[in-house]
Amino acid sequence: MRGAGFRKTSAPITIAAANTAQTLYIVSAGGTATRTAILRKIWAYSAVGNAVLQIGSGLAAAWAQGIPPMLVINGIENIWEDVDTPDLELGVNFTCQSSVLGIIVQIEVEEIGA
Amino acid sequence: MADTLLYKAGPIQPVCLAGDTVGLWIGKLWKFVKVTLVEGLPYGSPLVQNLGAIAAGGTVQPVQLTILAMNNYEFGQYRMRVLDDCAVELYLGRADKRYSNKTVNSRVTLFSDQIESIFNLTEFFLVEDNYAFIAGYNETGYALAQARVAFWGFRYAYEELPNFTIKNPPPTYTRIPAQDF
Repeated sequence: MRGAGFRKTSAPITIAAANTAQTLYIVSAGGTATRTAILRKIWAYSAVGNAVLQIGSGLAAAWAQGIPPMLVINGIENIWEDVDTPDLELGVNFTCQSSVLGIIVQIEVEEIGA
Repeated sequence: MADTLLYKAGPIQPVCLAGDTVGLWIGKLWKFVKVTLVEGLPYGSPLVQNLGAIAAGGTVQPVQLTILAMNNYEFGQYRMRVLDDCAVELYLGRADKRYSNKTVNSRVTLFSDQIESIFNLTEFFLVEDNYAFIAGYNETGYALAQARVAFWGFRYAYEELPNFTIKNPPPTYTRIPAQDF
């Protein structure tokens, strides 16, 4: 557990292409001291069929999976709360990819810094 | 006179007010001064020192904290917290480790955050440009991409009281353990 950070959310993004990483959350620069962000919550919704969602960092060839893949079940709200979510901490932007295009993803993070 | 309890539990508070007399322990002598002004130094990115990446089990040699230096006729009161899973040792002067007992030098870690959530035991004082240093340690089994330490506190401007000495001290004064003790 880490304290004294700030909770912030990404904008809800729609996956534009299957199996192609795209930016999910931009970690704040933090002035003269870099910030990091810890993954706290994940929301996902699909109206286009079940999908496998992955969250990590990097785009294209630099994509790196940060936590295990999650199954997004069609037609219901898929929510992973703090207790379900590994405390993945990154100093770079969070990115995500899905096996199906068209699903909507949003995350909540805790930014650490000053 | 203000509440003169150093290392006081709770959010950081000034150890004295403008007009109070203070004894600064520095160079193994008391230097008596009168505080003229007090100003806050808020928690913020300019007061964060990043020791950089540290390999698993690695160390960073003491880094001079130029960001904490005070002007002439000023001293600072600071607390600190680590933002990453690193451990840091404090030096007041390059060769003077603090947080020490007879056998060990304690370190500030993320666990300090949990035990002393207001960081009062990290409190230290700097007079003018007598620099502080911190050394970093990675006590984990994996590499750290960065090792950030944040500081905040108060700045005190003072005027010297040269007529007072330890043999002829002021009637009351706040004792500040600044350096070399």
